This record gives sequence, C-alpha cells and structure tokens, in this order.
Amino acid sequence: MTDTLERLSRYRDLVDDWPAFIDSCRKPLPTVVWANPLRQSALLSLGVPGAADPSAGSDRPTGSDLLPATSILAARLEALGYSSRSVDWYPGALRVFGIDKPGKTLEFYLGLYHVQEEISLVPALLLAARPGERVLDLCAAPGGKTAQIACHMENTGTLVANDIRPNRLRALRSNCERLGLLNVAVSSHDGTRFPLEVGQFDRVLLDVPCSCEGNVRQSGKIPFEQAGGVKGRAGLQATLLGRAWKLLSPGGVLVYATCTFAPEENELVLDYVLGEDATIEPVEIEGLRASAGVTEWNGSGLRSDCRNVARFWPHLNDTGGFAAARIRKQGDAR
Amino acid sequence: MSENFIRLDGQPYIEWWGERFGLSTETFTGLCFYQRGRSTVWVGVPDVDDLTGARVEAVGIPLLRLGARFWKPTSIAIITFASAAAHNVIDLDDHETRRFLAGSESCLEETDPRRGKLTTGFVVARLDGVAIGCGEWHHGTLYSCIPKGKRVVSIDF
Repeated sequence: MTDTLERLSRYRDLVDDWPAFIDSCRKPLPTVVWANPLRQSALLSLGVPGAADPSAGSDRPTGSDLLPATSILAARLEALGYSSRSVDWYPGALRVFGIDKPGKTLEFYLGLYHVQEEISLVPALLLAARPGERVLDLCAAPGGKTAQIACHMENTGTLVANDIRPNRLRALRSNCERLGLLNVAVSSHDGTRFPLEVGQFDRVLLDVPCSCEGNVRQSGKIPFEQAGGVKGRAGLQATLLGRAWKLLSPGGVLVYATCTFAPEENELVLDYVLGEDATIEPVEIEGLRASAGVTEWNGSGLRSDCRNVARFWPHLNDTGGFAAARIRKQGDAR
Repeated sequence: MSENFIRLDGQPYIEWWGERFGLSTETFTGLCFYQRGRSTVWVGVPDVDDLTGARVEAVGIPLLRLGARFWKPTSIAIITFASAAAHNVIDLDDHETRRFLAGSESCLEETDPRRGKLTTGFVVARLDGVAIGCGEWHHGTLYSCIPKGKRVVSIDF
C-alpha cells in the first residue's frame, strides 16, 4: 500500500486536500446498487416483505398508493439485514451497508437491481442518451454503463454494446439478459477497428481500458501497475478515441471516461486526438463534487477546454477515482 | 455481416406464447425476431439490417429454443414477458421458490388446486405475481429449468 501511495504522489499538485485523498485511498469502497427501471413493475408487485399482501395473481398493483420502486428495494434489502442510503445525485441508486454478496439475492437474480461502483455511474449520466437514438458503447463489458444507457433510452432505439475480450463478453451478455435489455445489440470487434460501414451514432461512450489507479480502494493497490504504467495504454486509448470520433455523427456527443488519475490517460489523450471540430463541454452533476481538468502537465500546455474534464478524486465524494469528459462534435445533429 | 442473425416473421412465436401462456400479442409489440444458429429465437428492438458490417453476438434476449418435438421458452424470456401469464402458470410459496431457484423439483398433492391451471409441458413459475423462470410440469411434479450456471443454491429473500 505504501508503494502504491508513493506512486500516487505525482498527483500531489493536482489534489486540493492531500491528507484527505490519502486517507480516502486507504478505505474500502461502499457497495452501490441501482434499481432497474425496466423491472419496476416486478419490484412493485413483490412489494415490501411483511407489508399487506401484494397482488398474488396477474393483476399488477397500480402506482399511487405504493412506495416508489427504489424505496421498495431499500425495504427489501433492509428485510435481509442490509441498511441502505440513497445516492443523492443518481436517481434509483442506493449505498448498501454490510452486504457481502450482493449478487446472491432473489432481487439480483430477477434483474431488479445492478451492482456498480458509484462513481462509474457518471459517464452514462453525462452521455444523456434519449429514447429512440442510435448509441454505441465501444468498450462495454461488463455492461453496467450499457445497462444505464439502455434504461435512459427506455428500452427503445439501438444501443450497440461492443467488446473484444471473450470472457468479458460473456459477462456483458449475461448482464444484458438478466436486466432485460431489449434495445441492446452486442458486438465483438476490436474497438480500434470497429467497422465504419456500420454508420455513425448519435452518442458514443468510450470507457477506455486504463491503468485503473482509481480502483486503489478496491484492492489496496493499483491493479495494472506492471503493465506499462500510466503510459502503457495511452497509445491504445488514443487509437480508440480516433476511431470513436469517426463513428460519431456531426452534432453528436462522445463521453470519454477512465478510472485513473493520470493526465497521460485523460487530458493528454484528448489533447493529442481531438481537433478543431471538438469541444469539451463543461459538466456539472448536482450533488457531486468534481475538480477541474489539467491544462498543463510536465511543462506542456494542453488545449484550454481540457479544464472541462471532470476529475473525481476519491475523497471528494467518498467513491473510487474517475475522470470523464463530455465532447461535442461540431455540426448539426441529425 | 450480421448474417449471424436472420430476421424472422414473429407471428408463429407470438402465437405460441399466446396459446401456451395466454399472453396478449401486445406483449411483443415493436420487437424484432431473429434466429441464430439452428435452434434459438431471439427477440429485441434493434433492426440488424441497420447494423450491416457489425459482427453481432446478441440482439435483445433469447426467447425460445426450437426443438423437433417441442419449443422451450427461456427462463429470461419468462421473467421478462410472462408475469401476466393466464394459464400454465404456477404460483410458488417461499419454500418452493427456493427449491425452484436451486434447480430442484417440487411435487404437488393430488388435491392442490394449482394443478388445474397446468398442462404437461413448460410452465411459468411465479412468486407474488412476478415470473421467476421456466419450469416443466410433468406427472404432478414441477421441474426447474433454470440453467445450471444461473441456479442459486443459497439465496437471500
């Protein structure tokens, strides 16, 4: 752990409160789940254990006199012995306390909720996909963000969830099925060569493979420390971004995200790849603290809109570490 | 290159779900039907013709396995579409649900009124009005068709 924290010391000048950051990196991560709106009627039908008998037949209860679905989920988890608190900034998400195996409940099996690290809920929110759109999630596995996007699209339109790694594809497909995502098509291309003939998309999520420094709270170390460090994946990230940009319609939105602190994997990649037809837009999520992106690193200046990259240091919101940028492509939307 | 998935006319499958479980045709409104390989019918929103060039591995969810002698609904399709089933549906209690999700069978007494809604073949297993998977009803016994990898031996609820 000490070695890991020493390695992170290169970010000392970027962090507002270094002792709080280090403290936060030593703590385990809270477990977060979100209620699946596509299975809301099932949750309403199951109801709160011990409460008045929910309809035992095919008639579904109707809304007004019932708790909202998320409250029912919280009550059901409570009945299993797990207290929870809602995540203020993300509708339907709960922090659940003391739950060791959130994948071993009836509710999970039925796809009533998904388990996802809290801060990784951000990119889909920034992407803000709408019903009926054509959307691409280029590095999609294991599918948590795909599922969020599918829900934002209200199970309509076309969401292509792509990943190349076979074992990760299995997890992606399994999650899509369990959560009842009908608007997802799963594909298995190398993201750097995703065929252009498939056409352009209204929105593209690019959650690139990275050194995962932001996951330090999950394991107490940086998972991919040995694989070339923060520069090892920069080439791949840049190539993926170049491809994703070609796949984005004029006027469309691309969200670039990593779970790492390194400017080499965030702002430097954006600065290297993006041209004049791109604008990194300012983003704000109510109830979630972020710090500004880096516009200078190791003496080199970067494009000025890199300041709009949102950096989520673990101590700001008691989450993992993350960085995300919402990028608009010049032109009229279709 | 989406030739993996061949577009089907959904009518026979919609009718099958209607006849077997009493589900209305509206259950499948707006969905496309596909066949992949010899035996699996998939159902989903995307039109793969709109994805020419993509190597598609899945569209929506698997709906049915087509056998020579019978068609078998998938558990995930039952969970997704069949909570409102009117026949060939069995409402389980907590104990039976645990057995069902663990892959075990349950015998129903001769006098159990639930037998009246069941005919031999695949049925919807349901808990508190929510479909929880595909079962097979045969000679007074409900067999669980939950795939081995999805079974839950010790489940919280």
